[in-house]
Amino acid sequence: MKAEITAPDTREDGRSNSSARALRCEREVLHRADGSAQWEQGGTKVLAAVYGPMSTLARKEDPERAIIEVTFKQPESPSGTDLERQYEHIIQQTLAGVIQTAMHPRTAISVILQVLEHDGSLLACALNAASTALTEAAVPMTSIVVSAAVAQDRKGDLLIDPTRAEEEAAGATGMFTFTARAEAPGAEQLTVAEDCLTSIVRGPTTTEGLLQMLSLGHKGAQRAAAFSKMSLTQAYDFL
Amino acid sequence: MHISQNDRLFILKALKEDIRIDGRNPFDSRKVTVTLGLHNASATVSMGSTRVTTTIVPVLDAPFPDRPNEGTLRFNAEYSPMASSEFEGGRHSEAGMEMIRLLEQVLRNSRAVDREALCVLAGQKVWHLDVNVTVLDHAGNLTDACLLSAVAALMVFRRPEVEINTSNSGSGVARTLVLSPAVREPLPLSLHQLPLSTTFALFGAGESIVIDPTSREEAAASGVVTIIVNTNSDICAIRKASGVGIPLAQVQRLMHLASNRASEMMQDLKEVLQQHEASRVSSRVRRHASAPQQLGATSRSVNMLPPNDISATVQPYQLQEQDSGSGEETSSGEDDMSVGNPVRMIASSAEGVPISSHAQEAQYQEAALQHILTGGRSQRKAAPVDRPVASKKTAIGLQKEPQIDLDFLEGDTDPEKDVLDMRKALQTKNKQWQA
Amino acid sequence: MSSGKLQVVGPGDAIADLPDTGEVRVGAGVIAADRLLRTVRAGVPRQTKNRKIWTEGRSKRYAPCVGDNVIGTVIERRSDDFVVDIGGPFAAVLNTLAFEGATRRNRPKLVEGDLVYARVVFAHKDTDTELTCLEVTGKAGGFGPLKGGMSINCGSALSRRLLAVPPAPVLTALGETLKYEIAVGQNGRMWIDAPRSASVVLIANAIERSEFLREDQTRLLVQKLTSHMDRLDDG
Repeated sequence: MKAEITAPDTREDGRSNSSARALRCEREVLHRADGSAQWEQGGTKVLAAVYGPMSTLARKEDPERAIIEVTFKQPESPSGTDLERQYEHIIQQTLAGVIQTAMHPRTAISVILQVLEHDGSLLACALNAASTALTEAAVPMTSIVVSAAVAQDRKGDLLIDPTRAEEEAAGATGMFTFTARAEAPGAEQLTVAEDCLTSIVRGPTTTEGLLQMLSLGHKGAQRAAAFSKMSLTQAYDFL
Repeated sequence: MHISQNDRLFILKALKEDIRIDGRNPFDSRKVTVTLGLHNASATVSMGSTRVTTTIVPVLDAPFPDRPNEGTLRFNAEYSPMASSEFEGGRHSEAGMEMIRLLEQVLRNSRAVDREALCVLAGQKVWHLDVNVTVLDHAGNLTDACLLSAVAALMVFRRPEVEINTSNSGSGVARTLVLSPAVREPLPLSLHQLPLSTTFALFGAGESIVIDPTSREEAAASGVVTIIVNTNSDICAIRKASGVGIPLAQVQRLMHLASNRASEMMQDLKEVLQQHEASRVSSRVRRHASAPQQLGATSRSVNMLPPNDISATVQPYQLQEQDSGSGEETSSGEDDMSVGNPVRMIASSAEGVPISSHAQEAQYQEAALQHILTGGRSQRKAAPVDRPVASKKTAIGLQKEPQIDLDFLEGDTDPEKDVLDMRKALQTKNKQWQA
Repeated sequence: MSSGKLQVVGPGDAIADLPDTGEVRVGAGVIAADRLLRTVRAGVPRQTKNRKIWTEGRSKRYAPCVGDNVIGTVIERRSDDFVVDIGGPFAAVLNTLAFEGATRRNRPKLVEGDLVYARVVFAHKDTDTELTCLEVTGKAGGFGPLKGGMSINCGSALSRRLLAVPPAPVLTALGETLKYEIAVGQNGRMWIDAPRSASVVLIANAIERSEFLREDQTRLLVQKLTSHMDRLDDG
């Protein structure tokens, strides 16, 4: 089954298949946290807060590096289900790939994510929020991470940045995270790495379909990276 | 929190002159803002920098056997580790349990919510409402913020209509079908005499009292008291943990203040609900997903990017040149959505409908100052002083930024006149935003 | 670093090419990777007078650095030292003898809850940070307990601004009408004292709000705040 990106198709919210939703990024949302950010993709809104590096319980500390603790909360399930635990694990593993934990041994870096509204592409939105909050908290990182979600509907068409309804109706979904940083001094744009740091794919799809999802996810991530750079520049131009 | 002895003593000393460390008068409350969710029953309350959100999740299930005609209210209060490094997460913190008890007392036991109205099919199906309160940012006075956000969520909540199919009643169990909002308009809850709280902190031997304490004031206080008043102006409860006692002479005054503040907050809450209702209806018609954008009290920057097609190569965005000396946004083709030029949105005063204690001039002036000065925040390296700020070009779906006239701030320094001018400017800006 | 234009960088961004030969001095927030110097946090790349390249950012949590002057709160008094909270990942240690004129018989009168102005003498990621209340000369200088006044948390960026030369506009504007004394800690804390409580509160609020304002806006802010305060006094 050949998967295509067909332009004229319109989705429930009027977008084309390859059109990603409006992005919104607010920095230093919270007063208490060391770093915080609210990232929105259309109707999906996630608030991220970061504390640390800070001291932690003796039984948890690692003498060589900082531990990364992730808490993921959705309003519909305050006590947390397996899904939230899975997300926490994925986010923790992803962030461990870019946070320089060796610079702060015996400490904990705590990332707390609160879902305010969920309309699809939740994990991608949460990762984008987490990356921005970590930047705000000045946690040392080798790059930021940018993520994008893709869905493949029953017809085989690929949809970027799916809504909740689109994800539920999809045959397969994918979430892809890439590192992004400026590769040359004075570069205007961030370069999003070709290598995928994290990919979570669900549902039956062909290899070709998977590669196409990855490619589309990469483009979505590039858009997120460009936006993140713009947001960063505005937030720090008071310096 | 680790408050130093210096700060503790200073707070006490300043209070003897009726000065608070954030510049408020002892009986000035912080600015309260309420944002209501468009797609889910949620209410986010900010009191100054304190932020609490409540979401209500309805569950259709069997009733408790001893109350077959009533739905239930279940309260969860989470002091999220997001709000303070001292909160450990997990849902059984002592402070969280205290809050749950308070919410149960004033919202459940008081019968403020009509539970019989939550019954769908007696003995078989009732609505159980999970009221999930989450503290997002701790800057003092969590009690008032939690209760206000729970009350606001209850007022904005709509319970779905349910269709009961008794055609297969041979089995004795009816089938229920929950109707989506598109099919049948969901209904508001039946609410009576809703309670709102006002918290005071006491210092020394009780000689200094302040309303709506910040976290540092709470740390320096020797006692805290919360007075809960309902819309009937009845005192529902007075909560006082251990600590110094309230001087008898002050009790009546505090109750009076609490009553006034509760009715002001309820009045403003009703206005916010009306506006919310209007935008909820129109959003369904137009299929836009945007709720009024709420900016945090401390937010340093907000940026937005309209939706755009990513199948083409992503264009490098033209960032504003540092040395152009111009305050204008250089975005070409901003009406062409497919290119997806970004539009910078500067932190502005239009943060939804503010709930303010109208009487306090000092707070108003401070707020007005803040709003006006905030408008210039990101212009730091751009426009020189004598040029008015250029208004931002509108992009589809975003509202026009009202022009912030810095010129009027120069000139005469008559404080009285300036307060009036600031008020006028603020009112004009709010009107423009709402237009 | 060849262009003079200030550019905001994010974590991982390359800020300079490493030359083939020679020495490059690297400061906070910058690491060397391959043939490039990269920053590990957001901010603006800068170069000190000693040609050390570092990233100026903004953080609320302090990363201890030798030579910094900090303001701390004593959280525990032990037999040989004080445990001091300086806003970093861990508490720091201040030896009871690290004060002018201190001996085993004559210990400094610091107790739990006191504010203290000190200097970082040892900072390493694997051990406790050590402080002293002595200048290099052995005198107290400005170090030691801070009496009275009030402290505020202002973050690293604002404290750097306040310590910069020429003086930050907010400080000069305040100094025109008010008498005050401040101590600025490079750990993002400040201490303020003035003859009147109202002045202390005004100064604290003015400084906090001036962080993102231009010079002219700062002057305006201070003007409004002081005029309001004067009205209170007259009324």
